[in-house]
Parts: sequence; structure tokens; C-alpha cells
Amino acid sequence: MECKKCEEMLAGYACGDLTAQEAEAIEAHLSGCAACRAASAAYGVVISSVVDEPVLSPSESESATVSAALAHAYVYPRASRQARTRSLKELLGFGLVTVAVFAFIATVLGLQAFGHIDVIWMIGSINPLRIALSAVVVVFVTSFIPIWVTARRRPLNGLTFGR
Amino acid sequence: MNDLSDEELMARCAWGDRPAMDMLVSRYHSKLLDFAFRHLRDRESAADIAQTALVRVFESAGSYRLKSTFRTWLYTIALNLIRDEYRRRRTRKESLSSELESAEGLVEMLADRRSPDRSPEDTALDRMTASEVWKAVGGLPENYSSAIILKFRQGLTYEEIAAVMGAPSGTVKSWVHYALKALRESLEPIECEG
Repeated sequence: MECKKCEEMLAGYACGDLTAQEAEAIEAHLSGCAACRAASAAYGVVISSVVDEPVLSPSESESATVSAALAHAYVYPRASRQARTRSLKELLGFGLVTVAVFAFIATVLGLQAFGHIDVIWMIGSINPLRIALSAVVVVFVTSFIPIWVTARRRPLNGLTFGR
Repeated sequence: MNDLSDEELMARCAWGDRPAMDMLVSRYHSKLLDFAFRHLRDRESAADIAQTALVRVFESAGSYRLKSTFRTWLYTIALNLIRDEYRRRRTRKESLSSELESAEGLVEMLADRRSPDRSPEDTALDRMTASEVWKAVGGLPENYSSAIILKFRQGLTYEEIAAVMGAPSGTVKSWVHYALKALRESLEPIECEG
């Protein structure tokens, strides 16, 4: 291996990023080249200078400031604000679904009133049992589906941060 | 609680578990402080950034999802705050003088080390000190210095650094190599034998 090639790969060698084969080739070259050995040692010194510098520790006042700021964050979590915004959106969604269902029923009744369709014929015939069943279906559509849609979208793990 | 992972502690935080939050703070406050300080070289700004990053993380505890590891999320927030601080400094022209100072220091150091009339003893690596290395790190482009700090000070993998910096891991690896090469060359040029 030539010095130029070795030089290109030394940073990767110092980081341990080379394959075993590449590392072996580098080591073979280093054993016979003092200049590249010096360069390799210099990489080691640079890395150890960066790694070995002691990690800063927060002072007591810095720790106290962080604790106070976090206590405030716990009392007023952003997540609960987001949850409030989300529940407003859900309310709006519930309203829109309900309006759409009632608009559909009004349209059907209107078409029936003007004789464009014959709902009674469509249901079958005037039968109290069938009418009762139809009422159940209407109540289900107008009440339970919007409730079900809303319940599906409600988050299960609302935040309960508190003092 | 010591044996719980960061992600498990964060999940507990979302349910309002204060001791879990305290544990995460004890794990990361000093690392964040160091991370910010190595970039900004200013203790006060570093303390502000560490605090703001922690507050943002715990304010958003409920929206945390396991798409990324906790520490990549935390360092992403901290790095964005550091970049904001860089921008503010640039706007105020405050950093210009310090950058020039560090660049001038680097140039002087290079000139000194490459001077032909220096004795062999002077060129030895023993004159290289940690402060010189950090001064040289400060003279690197932002991405290179961040990659170096995340890799060697914070112990992140290339994949984690890539997630934090929003770049492919291969690019991050080349940043680290380039930065190391620049630091090494700035401190001791070599003359090859063959």
C-alpha cells in the first residue's frame, strides 16, 4: 500500500470503520512507514483529546433552574393543550356527521313528500313491526354511528400530569 | 428504575410519572450541557439550551412515539436549539469576531507548526493540547463539528447521528473522517516516505 492510500484511510482506521481486511493492510503498511505511523498516532491524540475532556456537570443553581422549569412544564403540559384542541376538532367532526345524517333523512322525506320516491313501498308495506325496525335503524344511524366515530378517535391515554 | 431504558422511562413520563422524568433528567442534563457547550463555548447559553431542550421534551411527553430512540429525539431538539443560537449570533454579528478569532488562532497555530525553522522537538505532538484541538473543532464547518461531538463526546452511532442531523449515515461518516483529517492536518502535517 502506498502512503497516499494509507493516508486516505487513516481517519476511518482511527474510527474503527474499516473492514478487517482493510485494517490489516493499513497495519502492514504502518509497520514499515514511520511517517504514516506518526500520522496514525496523531489521529489517536486528536480523538483522545476530544473524548477525554471531562464532561461538564450542571451547577446546583443550573439544576435548580431546570427542576423549576420542568415542574412548570408538568403543570402546563403542551400535550394537554393539544388534547383540548383535539377534542374541539372531534366535536366539530361529530356535528358534521350528525348534520350529514339529518340532511340525508330530510332529503328522503322531501322526495317522499313530492312523490319522487315511495319509501313505504321500498320498506315493503305498512307493518308496525317493520316501522319499529326502521325506527331502530334510523336511531342507530343518527345516534350511535356519530358516537362510535367520535369514540374511535378519542385518545385512550389522555395525560394526567398534575402537582 | 435504574434498569429501565430511556424509552420505557419516557412512556412512564407520558402517564405523569415524575420519578421517571427525574431519572431521565439525571441521565441527560449534564450530557446536554456538555453537548451545547462544545458547540457554543459559552456556559450560560449552553445551560439555557440544555434547560430548554429538557422542557420541550417533557412538555411533549404525550406525543412521543417510538419512531426514534429517546436520545436521538433529545439531541435533535438540542441541535436545533444550537442552530437557532448560531443564527441569532450571526444576526447579531456576535459570533463573527469569535469565529475570526478561532480561525486566526488556527491559522497562527498552523503557521507556527509548519514553520521550516522549527526544531524537530517543536513539531512533536506533545505540544498539542486539548484546548488546541477544541479550538480547531470550533473552526470546522458546523456539520463536521456536530458530527465529531455527537460521535466522540456523546457516543452516538453513525445511524443515530444521521437521524439527529437529518443526513444519510454514509454522509455523516465522511463528515467525521473529513473533520478528523482536518484536525490532524491542522496540528501536524506529515511527510510521507513513499
